[in-house]
Amino acid sequence: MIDEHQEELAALSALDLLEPGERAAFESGLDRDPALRAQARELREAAAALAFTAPAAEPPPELADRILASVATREARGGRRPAGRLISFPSLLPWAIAAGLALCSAWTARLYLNSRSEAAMLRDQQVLAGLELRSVRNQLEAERIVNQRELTDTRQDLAAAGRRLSELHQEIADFTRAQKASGSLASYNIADLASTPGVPSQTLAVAVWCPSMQEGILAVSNLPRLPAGKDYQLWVIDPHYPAPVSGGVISVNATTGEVYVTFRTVQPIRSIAKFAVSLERKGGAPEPQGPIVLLSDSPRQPSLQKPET
Amino acid sequence: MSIAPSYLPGAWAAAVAAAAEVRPMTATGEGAPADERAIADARLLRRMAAGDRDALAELYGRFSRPLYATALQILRDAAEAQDVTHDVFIALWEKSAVFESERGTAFSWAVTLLRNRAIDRIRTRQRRSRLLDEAAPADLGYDEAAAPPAADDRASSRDDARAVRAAVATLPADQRRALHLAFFGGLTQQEIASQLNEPLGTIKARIRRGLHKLRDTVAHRL
Repeated sequence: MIDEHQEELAALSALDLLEPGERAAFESGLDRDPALRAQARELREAAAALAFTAPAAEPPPELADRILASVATREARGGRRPAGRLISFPSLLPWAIAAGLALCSAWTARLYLNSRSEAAMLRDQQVLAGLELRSVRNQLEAERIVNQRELTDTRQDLAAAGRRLSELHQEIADFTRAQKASGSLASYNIADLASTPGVPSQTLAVAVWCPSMQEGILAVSNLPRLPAGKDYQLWVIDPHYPAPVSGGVISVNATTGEVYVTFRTVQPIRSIAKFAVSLERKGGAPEPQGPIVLLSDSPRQPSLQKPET
Repeated sequence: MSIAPSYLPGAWAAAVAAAAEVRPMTATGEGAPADERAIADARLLRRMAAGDRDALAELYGRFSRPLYATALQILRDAAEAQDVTHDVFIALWEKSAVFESERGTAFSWAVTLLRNRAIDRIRTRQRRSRLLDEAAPADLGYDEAAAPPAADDRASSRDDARAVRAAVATLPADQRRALHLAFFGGLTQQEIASQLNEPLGTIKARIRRGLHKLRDTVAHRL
């Protein structure tokens, strides 16, 4: 009875795959078991049949000649001879000549085979070198791609950093301006505007001017309704100018009579003596022409002390 | 009908033609029973042992195609395949006296001699892994659509080569792969396991099952 392990060893043996230890065990089994010997033989035949699965290839025509020549050379050299074949002494001389010729042929054949073997080696080396070259090229190409990607990433990072830097510059500028504005709070000019005679006295108005920003705010309540074809216009009276400087036409809420506007002057203001609001023609005038309806005293500086609680 | 190749010298051509009529395995496929073929092969070896070169020519006509194709498949080099095939026929000529038909057929003996020589060459040059890496699945000999038809296939559908290929094609793919690496790759058990990324025991079992099934399928033709 052949067990599975022996079957396995027989299959491996058929393909010359046995390890030394396995070979010893298998061969001892072969000696004892005729059935195992038969199976080993069948499996070796089956393994040999795998030769038929190789893609078809026709041996070259010269191979048969080469084999025949080799056999002839070997016989001439005194190699294996047909059994029972006798050679008489008189025939030795021609055989010696033939042997000499055969030796020369063998020597030539050996040289030929050696050179052929060297050529095969060189071909292999060439193939190997070609593969190495291809491998190096592939590696270089891979490195180039990686470097290109890194360069692209770096450029993108650089662009992002540039954008961030611009944002920071803007933030710094904003912060600086805010600081400047906050630092110049003490220099703000604040003035209450009072109604001139003929204007209802319940009108309240205040103007704030920031010298550093050259910008101000005017807030008014209960301003009399505008006559048709007229506009209120704000003026800043700066002693450095011979005439009041226009702060622009102010827009009044027709229902409430309230005003809340941010204004800039048409000329830079160096110091403020007074604020005034006059009634001018529609669209305003370059210099005051109409009657003054609101007028302030000299502006005061704000107190930065905390109010007492 | 004579099928002797026109390139053979006169004596060889006649011998090959005679061989084709005696045992048309590699030519016409009108095969004699397997045992008769093995007996005829063994008889040729006995004649070779007696110095009969015509017997060698006859054996060449029977074995040269599958042996050369196998050598080429293992070595992937035509010049080396020719060298190995040459050496095998010389070995058959020189060792024909020690052939024992009880231990196996002449063909399996010739295949064993050929594989040993071819695999030795591969190992000597230490290029096995490179050759295997270059081998594409379609080159493994089981892709009927991609592989070129065997010379014997062209001759007849009843040809031995075709029968074996068909039998191998019925094996599960993992068994075919293991057998192929063992037969043509010249790898050890462990190397096959590494190549296929499978445990060694699995590889051994696949080889056992595959070879037993192949034996059962083609036994009547071998």
